[in-house]
Amino acid sequence: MSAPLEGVRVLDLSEGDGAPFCAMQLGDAGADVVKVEPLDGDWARRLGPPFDDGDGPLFMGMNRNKRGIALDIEREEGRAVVRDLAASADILVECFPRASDAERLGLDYGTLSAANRGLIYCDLSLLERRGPDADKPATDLIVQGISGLTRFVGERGKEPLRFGSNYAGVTAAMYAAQAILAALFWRRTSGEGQYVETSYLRAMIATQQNYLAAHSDPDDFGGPFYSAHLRPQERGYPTRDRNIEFNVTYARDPHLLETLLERVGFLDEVRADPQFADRRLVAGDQAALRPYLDRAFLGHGSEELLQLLDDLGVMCAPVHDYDSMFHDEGILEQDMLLTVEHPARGEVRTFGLPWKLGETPGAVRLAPPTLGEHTDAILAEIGYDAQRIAALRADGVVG
Amino acid sequence: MAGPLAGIRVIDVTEGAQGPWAGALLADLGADVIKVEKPGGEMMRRSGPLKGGHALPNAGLNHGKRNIVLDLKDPAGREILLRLIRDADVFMENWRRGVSERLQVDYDVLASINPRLIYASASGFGQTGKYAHKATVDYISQAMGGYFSLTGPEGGPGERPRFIAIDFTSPLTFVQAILLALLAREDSGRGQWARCSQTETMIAVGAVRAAEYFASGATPRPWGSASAHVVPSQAFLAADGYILVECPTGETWRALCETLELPGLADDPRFDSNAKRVERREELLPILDQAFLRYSGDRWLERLEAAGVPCGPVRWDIEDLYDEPQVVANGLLVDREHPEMGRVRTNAVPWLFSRTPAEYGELAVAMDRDREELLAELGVRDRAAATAAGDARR
Repeated sequence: MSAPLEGVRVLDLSEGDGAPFCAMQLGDAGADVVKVEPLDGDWARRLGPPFDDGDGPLFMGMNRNKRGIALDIEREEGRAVVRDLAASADILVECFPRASDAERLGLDYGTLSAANRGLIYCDLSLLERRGPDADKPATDLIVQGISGLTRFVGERGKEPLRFGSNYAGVTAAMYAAQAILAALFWRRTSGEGQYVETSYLRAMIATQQNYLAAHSDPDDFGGPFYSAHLRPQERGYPTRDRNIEFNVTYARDPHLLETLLERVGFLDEVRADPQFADRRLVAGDQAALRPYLDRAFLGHGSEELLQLLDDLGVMCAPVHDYDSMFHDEGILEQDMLLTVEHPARGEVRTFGLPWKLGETPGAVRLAPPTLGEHTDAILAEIGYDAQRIAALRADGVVG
Repeated sequence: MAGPLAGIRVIDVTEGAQGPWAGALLADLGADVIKVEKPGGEMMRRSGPLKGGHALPNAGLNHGKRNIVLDLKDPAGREILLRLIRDADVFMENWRRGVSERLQVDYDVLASINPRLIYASASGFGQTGKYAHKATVDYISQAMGGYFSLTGPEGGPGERPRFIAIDFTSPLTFVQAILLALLAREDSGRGQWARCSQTETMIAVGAVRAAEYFASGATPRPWGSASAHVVPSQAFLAADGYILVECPTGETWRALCETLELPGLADDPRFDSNAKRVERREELLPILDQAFLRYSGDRWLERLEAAGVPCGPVRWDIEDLYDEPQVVANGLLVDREHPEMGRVRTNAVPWLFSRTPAEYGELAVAMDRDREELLAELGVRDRAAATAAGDARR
């Protein structure tokens, strides 16, 4: 076996900015993922430029290792096709916009599990399926705002900032994948599928567990860690080329700050400063030494400084952008840049697998599908003959 | 226990967040997770804020686990770990490179004792290669993983998200790797070495920006609150403050124009697709900015929501979560009691299962609390071993 989920069939009914990532992770682990899209495609395809063969990054980043079928889910004939696909699926992933959509479409867990009791049905909503905001339209950015992630970036009173990249949706998708895999594990012994759910909001609250606990009436709020977001913005130490970050807190060498300053030629100047004269420099001095370090580092290249810090046993890293990161030997050694061939798209670059499994490694086998790329093959696999497929196509049910 | 992993035993020697949170999630899923802690306690025992002398963050980070203290440098302590390994399904570690070999509990050693064992290793920057030896903390990993470059004011160089963005996502990859290895074992009958790193997770979290880079060839840049490839998707200044608005589809764009009382705009051929809006954002945004200034944020949110446009407020304080109606209605925050700390606020379990409910276990217990119980389970009753074990205690 070359991948842990070989032979597992996933039906991905999701569109947009989170749930597709969940299905993709199952595909990375070897599952056969069938992505069902509307006839005009997942809305994420249209979100660009940049476009890769017509499809935007939100689509390209979340839909590798899937085959694609296009059909009209708003028509009963289209829904019948989905039910047929669900009958032989092990896992279904959906993120319907409204709580009532699944039942309205006849694609709810009750209906589908009646025909397939082993089905694991995963509902990944943005704001949970109950409560006053269950049907509120939302996206990753909106959940970032509600859950308070935006407070960790930017500056109070100014324009709020977006937090990283699809952070809420991807995190929720990773939690959803856990629920699915755990349910699959339980099914091996019980034979029973089940309904599992999570949401972006639920995931963003779990993600803030340290902050929730830290704010539980502490005796002393203590160090600055949990109020770091109230301090000024920070982007590392500039050097001659790119910024670097380092943290001396956990290093063991008691003289490392002296050695560092000496090596960059600033020890004498620091010693002339009364606050640092005649005493050993300690980890807590890193912040106060900042003005010296900033000037000192500008005379040196990042690679030289990182090597020096590394030799001193100090935690450090370049402040990468994506271009420098995907050219960094140390990143490439982790197989984090891959290419995959696609008949229409040609060679597509993608990021590597986020885990490394020694015996069942998984692989990136498929670039994201073009719209309806595998419609015929997928329908043939569930027993539709060529005539029936042609009729569905002529009738505008599949594309 | 009723969770989907009932019957699975996990030995967790991890420290910090990446490993401990992963272990806690496995416990929520029903596994019997035994935290093996070093004498004196792991770093999170001392990481405040404190309450009654105990570290609050650790209470949640290590919930749901039994606890035994073992000095793995001591042969007696190591011997007890090896006994635990014999009946375990999963071993989790996040030591610096070289430690597992030094302690003689590396993959080869443990797999020879228990070939069904999943040996799960989490690291900062991988197990092999140029960076494998490096220790890290969250923001150092964010720097390495390109995350500073994605966030910040538009046109600027980017900034560090002052949040532990990787400490609570890397455990998710860790759990995923472990679950996949458990599933693979169902077929093969054998365990394996499952590895993951913080950079690998950080790059996966940035999947969409990576795709942007691969498609355009240009390194992704921060866009303030906005998006490189969706317009509009950003904060707008209403009469009394900022709100967030996004139109990912043609329908939501049309609904926005109607709500803003800009009827000609929806059909304006300059802006009638997302691609055109991205290309002409400089032309479009002043029109929208002007319109949003007319009413208060709340008034816009009410109207936009009714029109089906994704929108929401910006919350600036953790306290805002406590009475957020959707959070309250779904019980997403749970106050739990700790015998010494009293009330500790925690998250609800991050998933719901219809047949095998996940359950948030006991808040982190005292060091070594379950020693006697565990030794009894292992059948370590002979005086010599018990004495040796007692000596290993500090």
